[in-house]
Amino acid sequence: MDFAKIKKDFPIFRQARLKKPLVYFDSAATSHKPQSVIDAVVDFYSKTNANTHRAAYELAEQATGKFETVRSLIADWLHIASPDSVIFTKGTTEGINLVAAAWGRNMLKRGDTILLTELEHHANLIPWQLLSREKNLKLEFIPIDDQGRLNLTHLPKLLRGVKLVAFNHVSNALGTINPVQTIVRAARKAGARVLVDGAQAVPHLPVDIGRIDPDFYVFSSHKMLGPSGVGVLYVKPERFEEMTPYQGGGAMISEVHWRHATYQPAPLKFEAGTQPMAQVVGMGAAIEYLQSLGMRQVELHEKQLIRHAYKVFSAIPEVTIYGPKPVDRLGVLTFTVADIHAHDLATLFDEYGICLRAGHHCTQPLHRTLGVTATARFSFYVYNTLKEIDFAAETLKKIIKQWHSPTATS
Amino acid sequence: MALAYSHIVMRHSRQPVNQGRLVKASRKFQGENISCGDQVTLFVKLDSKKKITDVGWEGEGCAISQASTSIFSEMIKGKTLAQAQKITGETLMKKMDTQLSPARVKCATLPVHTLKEATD
Ligand SMILES: Cc1ncc(COP(=O)(O)O)c(C=O)c1O
Repeated sequence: MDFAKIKKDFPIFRQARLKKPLVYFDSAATSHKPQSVIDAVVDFYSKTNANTHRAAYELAEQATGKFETVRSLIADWLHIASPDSVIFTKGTTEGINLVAAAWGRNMLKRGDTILLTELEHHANLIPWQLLSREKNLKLEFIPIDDQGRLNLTHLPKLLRGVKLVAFNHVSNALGTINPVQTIVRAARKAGARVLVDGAQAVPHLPVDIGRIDPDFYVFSSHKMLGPSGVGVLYVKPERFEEMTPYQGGGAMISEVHWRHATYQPAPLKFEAGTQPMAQVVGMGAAIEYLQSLGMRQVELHEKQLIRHAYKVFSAIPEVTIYGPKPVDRLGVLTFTVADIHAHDLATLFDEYGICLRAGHHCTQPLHRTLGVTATARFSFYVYNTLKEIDFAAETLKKIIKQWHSPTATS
Repeated sequence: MALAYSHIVMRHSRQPVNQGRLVKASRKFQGENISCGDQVTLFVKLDSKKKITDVGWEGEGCAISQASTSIFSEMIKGKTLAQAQKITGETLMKKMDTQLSPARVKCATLPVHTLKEATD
């Protein structure tokens, strides 16, 4: 696969209004879309638009067919035994909230413990805080070591009495790849259920949900080249019996009376209301695009980018990099620069067409642990190149020089 | 390419004026940009006619918020508190002479909003 040519597939990089080449290093926030994904969305609206699961006319059947094909595609892609385990959501955040509301509220009792980690995104923290307020649950955290990796030394002890372990497969803040299999196995042994936040994993490396065998696994389409507004929650079949409906409305019901109703089996039971149909179809096109690249290749490409970025940026004396060495991380480089605040860096880089994130990246407590209020973050994806990383490093050297030289301002 | 920040911003960032707490301040104002963590505290000394005779400030955050507070502290000295509280974000931004995105405008106008919210 020639990753150097990939940019051509993404119209955002070819816009006429761009004054300079767009160097987009913020794919952990959201990714860009290849033409094939955009076309799939346009195509759906132009040719097959009708409400899914509702009508018997041919157009509606085509729409339903396209929609359900994506469910099967996702199941195949991630080695999920049955497409019925694939529930469409708005995204990772909604997937976690759904589990908290439909499973957690039903199954967790006063005094139960939920084990999270110090790497969690607010999306995998706040829903549990809300539930713990409501039900008087305890929250505990797997700590990180000085390289931003999970410290699993005391995991068996931490797991004592725990009913649910919820953690990210890959950290959006530091890029740490967590030993998902080890944690799932330990949790299972301790009798705990497991939710894996795969928002930063599914877009970037081959994920085998069948093998990981979690109880719940969540991710978002918009971070994996697909449209925004849609995501996936995988539920292990046994867990369905322990879940009450999340939202009520159309499509999730079977027989409705004035004072009671029966529900559809999963997955429809958890998909109340009209779904983001065109977005689901677009997500299908994104998966096909990623399949054409090969997830192994995607991972290798990002590994190459992060190794290079780690090398050239750690060679700049003013730079402090946070998180693990390249072997334990994916394409995320989180750093600070001496004397230049991260927000200033973002503005100064922007002048050169380089987009990066500055702040806490939805991980405020983690930043408190790291002892910084804000960091700068580059996050890479399939369309990024080694050349762009070199350009960013040269740019940073220029910025640092100008920052410290009293005459070099506009 | 030159740095995106103007000369005046860089000057105040490197050599801030009126920095430090005023021991005998008449009023103290605290402000914070929750989303990005910038913080400033403004101290003013007022005479009998409510005129600002001395200003001090302490802060933490990006160069824009700190330079803008330094510039703002110069602007309000000699004005009455009421006059100083009428200074708008736009006036301050004009002085700063730097194009900023909406998110960064919040950093720049932090001292303006801070002075409007008394927390004595
Ligand atoms: C690790 C992780 N979890 C959860 C989320 C939330 O995803 P979304 O905003 O798509 O719901 C993100 C992205 O912002 C993330 O990186």
